[in-house]
Amino acid sequence: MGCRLFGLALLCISVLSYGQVPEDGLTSRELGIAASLPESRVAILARGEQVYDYWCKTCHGAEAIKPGTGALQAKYQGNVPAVLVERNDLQPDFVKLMVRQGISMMPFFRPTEISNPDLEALAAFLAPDAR
Amino acid sequence: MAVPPGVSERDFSDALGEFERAVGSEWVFTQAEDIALYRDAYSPLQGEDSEILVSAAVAPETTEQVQAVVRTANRYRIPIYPISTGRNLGYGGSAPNLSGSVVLDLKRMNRVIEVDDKRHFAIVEPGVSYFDLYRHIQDRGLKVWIDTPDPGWGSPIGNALDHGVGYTYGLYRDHFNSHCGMEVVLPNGEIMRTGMGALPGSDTWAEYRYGFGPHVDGLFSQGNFGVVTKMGFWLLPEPEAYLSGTVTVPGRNDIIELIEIVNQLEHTGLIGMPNYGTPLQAHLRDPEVRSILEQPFAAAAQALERWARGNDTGYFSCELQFYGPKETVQANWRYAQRLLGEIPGARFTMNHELEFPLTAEQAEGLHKVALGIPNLEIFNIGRRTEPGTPGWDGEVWFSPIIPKSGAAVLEAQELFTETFRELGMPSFTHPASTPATWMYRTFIFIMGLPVSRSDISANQRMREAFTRLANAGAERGWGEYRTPPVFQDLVMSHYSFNDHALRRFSETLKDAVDPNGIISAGRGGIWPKHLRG
Repeated sequence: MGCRLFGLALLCISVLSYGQVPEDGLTSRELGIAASLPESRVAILARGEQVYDYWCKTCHGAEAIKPGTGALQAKYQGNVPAVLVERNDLQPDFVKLMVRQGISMMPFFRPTEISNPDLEALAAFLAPDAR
Repeated sequence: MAVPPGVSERDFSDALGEFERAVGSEWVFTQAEDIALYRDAYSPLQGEDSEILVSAAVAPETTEQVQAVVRTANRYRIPIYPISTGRNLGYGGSAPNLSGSVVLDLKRMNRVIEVDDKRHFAIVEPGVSYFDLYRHIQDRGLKVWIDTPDPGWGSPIGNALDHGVGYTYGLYRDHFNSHCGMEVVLPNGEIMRTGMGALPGSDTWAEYRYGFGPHVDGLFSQGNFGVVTKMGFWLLPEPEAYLSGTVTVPGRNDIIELIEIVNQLEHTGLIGMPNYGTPLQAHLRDPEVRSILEQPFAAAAQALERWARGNDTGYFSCELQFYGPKETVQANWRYAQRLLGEIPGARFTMNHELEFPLTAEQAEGLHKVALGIPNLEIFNIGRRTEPGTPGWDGEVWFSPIIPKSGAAVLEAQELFTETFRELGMPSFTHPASTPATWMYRTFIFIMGLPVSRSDISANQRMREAFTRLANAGAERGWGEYRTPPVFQDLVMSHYSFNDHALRRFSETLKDAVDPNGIISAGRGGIWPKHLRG
């Protein structure tokens, strides 16, 4: 699940409780599209994890069959972790560039999918100082 | 500021103001970095002057907002191009046919209106993805399956409207054919509901698709007559069990009898999607096999069969998938073995049996889409697999329709392999290639042609190859079922019976329904009068 902060444990448990399904999580309506960043850092990181779980994990999750994970394993040969949430070198500007520009097979994502505040939260969640 | 073709800057500015009043200024995108996100991410034209770009994007949240935007567009004659989730990758992505169009981005319309697991249907909005619908169903413990295409981030509405396909059982795989009922905003801003939705007070909108009178839903698939804002879909009741078994046959011509028998099994409802393949796939990197495949087609086919027999690999295979009660799937597997056992040398392998619902652990490693579970694992095709080799930047799907027969498969192998040879390119097909079987009553002899983000000349060669392949197919009577905007005029030109009577009929309707030609100009090869050549 990539629960990176103790404060997010409840969120992770609630998502895990769907339990029986391999691709669990929120629907895009439940996730919503943030119009502004939450005020507290804990809330920003929690939002970032929700965005990660909905938009990124399906390709970058821990299972080897995930295409993003497989591609990064092939690229880095284990020199850096293939799973994004295990990385400690993802600077926010780099994450934002990848999301809005895409790379290789990965297409770019629009603000109607990941709004600018949601992208800020995602970048904060993946940043080294969130660990 | 980019301006749509034929529209003055002043009119466009006024229209953008009206769009902002309709949907909120934060949902009207005109900045370069935002509208760049409405390019086709897998465009074979990227970086070239002819790449299709948009002038703006508008993202309504409700049908009423769609109506307001369409009315404004119609008044100012602004070309608009609706997208659902915008993930039609390989077939055009989120980009329109006409550069300068305003994209009507419906991703924010993401309500699951209804799922009924007793009458087995769903009604959704365009921004709902397969992931969303699946999670909605799982979260509520509803006993129905969706039929999902490979990428789960697509929209059931958008996918069905482009004749998209899936992996489970019979007609459910043909997503337009499993739809039932539509709500459409017409080019004048009026709302229309089709089928039983046209009857006020009806409660069978997602159960009986025809209603009364002409059935017009098809006009809105690969068409440009309106903006679909709701659609119903029939859903498969969750089966009790599933069984997968594979038959392998030794000879190249065995494909003829194999397909005849599998057609019998499928068309009588005994199996879901059959997956044809070849055991030779595992040996394509063998130096001996590679050398065989370099020979002219007929010689390669003969040598490959000798190699397969000599190495006892088998030549063709077919995975059979059974859905239903536990006792029935086992009995049907035995019946299939009895029929297929008539092919000399046929061998059978039982792959696995499942009972539903599955746990996450049980589903891992299985072909999830065959079980109605959306995912993105298809993007393993073409991705980087080795250090130093970057993999593809995307692909365009070439997808001709061929008959559901072994003779057609053998002929298609030769036709397209020889076309690649004439082009002087490595062939994407060979004498053991097999077709895709998503369509219930036909085969798609699909192949993915890679696109590059940086190599314009490679994209140009790919476009030339696509055109040659499509023309070669059309000369044989095999046309594409679906294609990106850049090839839609070409493909529609192939459907030319009686001096293009079909296209002319659609153009007549287009001029009547959308006289200002504002909706999806060029989609499906149908252009409004003022843009027709």
